[in-house]
Amino acid sequence: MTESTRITSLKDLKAALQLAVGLELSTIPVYLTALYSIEAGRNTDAAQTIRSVVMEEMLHMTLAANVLNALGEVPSTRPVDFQDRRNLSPIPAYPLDSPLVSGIGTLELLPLTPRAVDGFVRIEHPLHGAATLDAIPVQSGGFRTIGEFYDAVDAALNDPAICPDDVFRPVRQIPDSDYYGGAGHVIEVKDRATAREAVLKIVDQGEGLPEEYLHRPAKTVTDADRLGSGWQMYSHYARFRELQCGRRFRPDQRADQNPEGAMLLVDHTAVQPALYTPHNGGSDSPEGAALDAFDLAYSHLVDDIYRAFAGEPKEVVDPLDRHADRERPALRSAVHIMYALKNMAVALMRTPNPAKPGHTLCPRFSYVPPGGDRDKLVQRLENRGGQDR
Amino acid sequence: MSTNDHDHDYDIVIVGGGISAATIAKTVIEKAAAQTPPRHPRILVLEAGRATAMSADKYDTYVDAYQEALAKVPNSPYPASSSAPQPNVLDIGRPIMGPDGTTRVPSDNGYFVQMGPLPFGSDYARSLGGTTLHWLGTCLRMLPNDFRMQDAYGHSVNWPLRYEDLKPYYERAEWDIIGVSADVEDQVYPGIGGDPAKYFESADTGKFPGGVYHFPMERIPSSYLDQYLAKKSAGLVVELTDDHGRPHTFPVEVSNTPVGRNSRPAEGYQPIGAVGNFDQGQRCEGNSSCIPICPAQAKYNALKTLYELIVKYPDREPADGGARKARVAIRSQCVVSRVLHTQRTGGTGTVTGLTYRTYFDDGSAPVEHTVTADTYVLAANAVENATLLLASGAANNSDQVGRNLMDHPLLITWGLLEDGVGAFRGPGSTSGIPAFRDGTFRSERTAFRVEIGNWGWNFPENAPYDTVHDLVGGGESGQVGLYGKELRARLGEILPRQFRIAWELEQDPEPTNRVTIDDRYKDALGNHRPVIHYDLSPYVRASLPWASEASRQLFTQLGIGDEVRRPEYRPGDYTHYDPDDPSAVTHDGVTYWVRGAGHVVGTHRMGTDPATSVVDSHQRSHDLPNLYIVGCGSMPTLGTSNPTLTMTALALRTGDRIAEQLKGKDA
Repeated sequence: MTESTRITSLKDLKAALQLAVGLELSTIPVYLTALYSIEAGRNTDAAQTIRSVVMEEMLHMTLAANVLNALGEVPSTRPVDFQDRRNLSPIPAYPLDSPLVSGIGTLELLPLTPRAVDGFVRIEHPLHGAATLDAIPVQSGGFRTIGEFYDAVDAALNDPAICPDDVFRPVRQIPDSDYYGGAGHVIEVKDRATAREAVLKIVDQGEGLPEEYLHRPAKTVTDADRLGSGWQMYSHYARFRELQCGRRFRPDQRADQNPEGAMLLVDHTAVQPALYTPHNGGSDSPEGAALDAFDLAYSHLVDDIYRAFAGEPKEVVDPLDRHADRERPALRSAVHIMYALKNMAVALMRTPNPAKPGHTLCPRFSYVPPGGDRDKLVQRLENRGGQDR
Repeated sequence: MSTNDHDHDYDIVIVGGGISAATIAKTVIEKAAAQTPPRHPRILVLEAGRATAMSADKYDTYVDAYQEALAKVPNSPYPASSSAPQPNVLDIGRPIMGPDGTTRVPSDNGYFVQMGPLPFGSDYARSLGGTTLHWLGTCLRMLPNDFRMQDAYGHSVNWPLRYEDLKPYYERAEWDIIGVSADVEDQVYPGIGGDPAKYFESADTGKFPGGVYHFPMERIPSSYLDQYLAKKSAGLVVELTDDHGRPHTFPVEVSNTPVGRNSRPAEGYQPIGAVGNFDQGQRCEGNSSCIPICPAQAKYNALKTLYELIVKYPDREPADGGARKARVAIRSQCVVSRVLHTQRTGGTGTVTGLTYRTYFDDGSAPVEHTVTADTYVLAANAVENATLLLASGAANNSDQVGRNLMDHPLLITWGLLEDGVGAFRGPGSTSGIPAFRDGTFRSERTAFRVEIGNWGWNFPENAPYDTVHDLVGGGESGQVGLYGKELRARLGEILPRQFRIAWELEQDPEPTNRVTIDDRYKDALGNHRPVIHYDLSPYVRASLPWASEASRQLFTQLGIGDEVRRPEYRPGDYTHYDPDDPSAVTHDGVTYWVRGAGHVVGTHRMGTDPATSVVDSHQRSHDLPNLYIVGCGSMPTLGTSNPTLTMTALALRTGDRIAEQLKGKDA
């Protein structure tokens, strides 16, 4: 069996956590594209399943950022060097081949289709669908599975030679009360124990699930969180298997079985036929401009989230607000863009794709970093706006 | 189907599945379990309406119904059955009165039979979860003087409770049942001695060190409109003159309203999300449809508490070796038709059972059952409690059952502001102006609360639809006007500037405002429909010109004092009242529209004297000691607070009492 990559320095651990924040981010557009493709009010079971997983990915991203901050490193969108590899971008671009985890395969933006759900199951499967760990090719400085990656992170966090006790500081932590509240509670990291607890929570809820979980009852609640009234969630893998098979698990079934419980039907005609088209054209057409506008909004959102992780409150100048001296944490401001983004995505997916009859537009979730490219994007949209008027 | 289904071994049967029922069931269970020795009551809840929304996706069918409804009135998402009909504000018609003041032709085109002279303008929902499905979520406590109107102002009656008595229950209602978002410092009301911290000071120093109270969640941000009004009206003091020529002054302060909508939690508080999907509804998302439905369930509804109960206390024997637990059964589509009892006129007795009929949606005939229990609770809404008691000839030695029906008669004023204020965005209301809630004027005219609405002119002018109509040319000009981009641009200028404000008047208890029954008016199951006599007293009417004048002073301050009418659109005061509207009320030769606020109160008032009240301060019937009659019906006076929070506090107090009574009995 191939020896898995180990993290041996604090510098590499920090780089790994920068990439972990990005790894958690990278699944969100994949799931959101499917979620937003569902026509309003239809396929409610599927929508609820996908939505619940997205919320947990957002939680995981926040947890990874809290761990990183506790190590004294500010989460950033900038590329990092990890081990012998240079310039790995934490921010995903689609279709995405993870720079870190080879087993996960290519992440694509697809509407809710059987193929999309197959992809979800692959992401969340402990071995990403492979029969054995050894069947997954690996490159130097990389990992075969998300589980392997987080194992390495956890091992490094647990090693005082890599991160001594005095490295951990409770700085720039996103508090639980600032988080939306679905999917569980944010852990504020202040020491080694809470850092490991945060990583364990990421692993337990979702990706990086240890293989042996497959042999346990599918509906085992892996996370200690209880949001109340018995609301509890089993693993992402089991949830997506249900969606894949069109049935719920019965309580006595194991996660590696085929679900045989109640029907969970998906009406694939109640899904917008969105088709992802990569960045390859100008934005001369109104459709191109709309896609650009989405990318700009998404870029602002990513910036705002990272700003929140960096502990920078967003300045909101509001002469009418008597409470203007109050803190305005950036994460809460970012929520506004999350809703705006949803509306934009839904509108795009209702817009016929002029180049591909029978399909509609698909948001690209393309992050344009601040600087020259961002300025050009803004300029293009402004010119376009001028034409419309 | 057998009618003998071993129902006789319930400890408590509750009629109605709304917030009072949920609160009492939860409180009794938790209190009784904490006693020594613990008790684990078995509770049955009988709901007349359907239980559609007990899972998140079924709740979405309500959201769909709301989105498809042409008139988005409070009950539009919640379909009723002819077996358990519900009032609808669209049914409100004006009865025709004879010259002698008697009713010549009642208005009976809905569920209510309106005997007049004014129609009762409010509704309620008959569905599991009750009217909390479509409440706004406002959670104002009553003011100290609201509980002692007779002592303070020589008008109406005193409560058998003081504010201080109810305070700990208010705290529990805010924390343990509803989940209220507010900041104490914003709560500046008249009549509390100027210091909100003192008014909210808690005796629970374990939970609130030093008695410094805070709400479980921080305030919902004030809307842009609220902030605009606060800035524009800064320093405004409204001056009004009473009947003796004495001036009364009211400094206008905009105050963020406590609401049962989820927001950022305080340390240790877990917001309660949607029923069956806790990932949803953890925070208010700013949807503007609090009434009739919060699509995310960030707004509290009683389904949340009921759901917690059926998950934690399922109605089945514990598994072998499992600890004994309370059991809760909820049966929907079960309409109680009679309270069976031993009471003779003028005497006391006990309740011996309830008769109810279960109806079905598949065409099969309703099935009648009788259920017995140690303790009975009527929690079916003030109007439904009254009709059931009257039909049963129960608990009415005082002849007060059905009387003292109250609401917050509502005067709307509206105008077009000089600036866009984001109308139609965000929750229905986030602030109010509390200045008129208390003062010496209450000896001769009623107090009122001012609610700032974020819903543009939808209530008075059917906006945005009628605005569109005006602009495309359906207005008075009759000419085709704007369309396309110009239409959108003009709408974008007008709609965000639409402003309306509601002046909600406290109604005083009057024995002639009453719910009665009449054998000529029955529903499909043969149960009595409410027959309602309703009017506004001179005490209420005296505040109509005051509210109107206060509105004029406010609008002038806002720069919109000019009278303007549609289809013209420019800054100004658009308030006008068409005398043909069913809600028209004339006072001193001036016409007003007075609408219902959905606050159905009175009908079984509490008091210490069995001769003049129906229940005691624990909402226990004076006549039938094993019967509790609970809800807004128990309130002797209404104050200017929306009544749900107070109703919940009363239910907590009742729940404590019922749990205490279980204590003496065998476990």
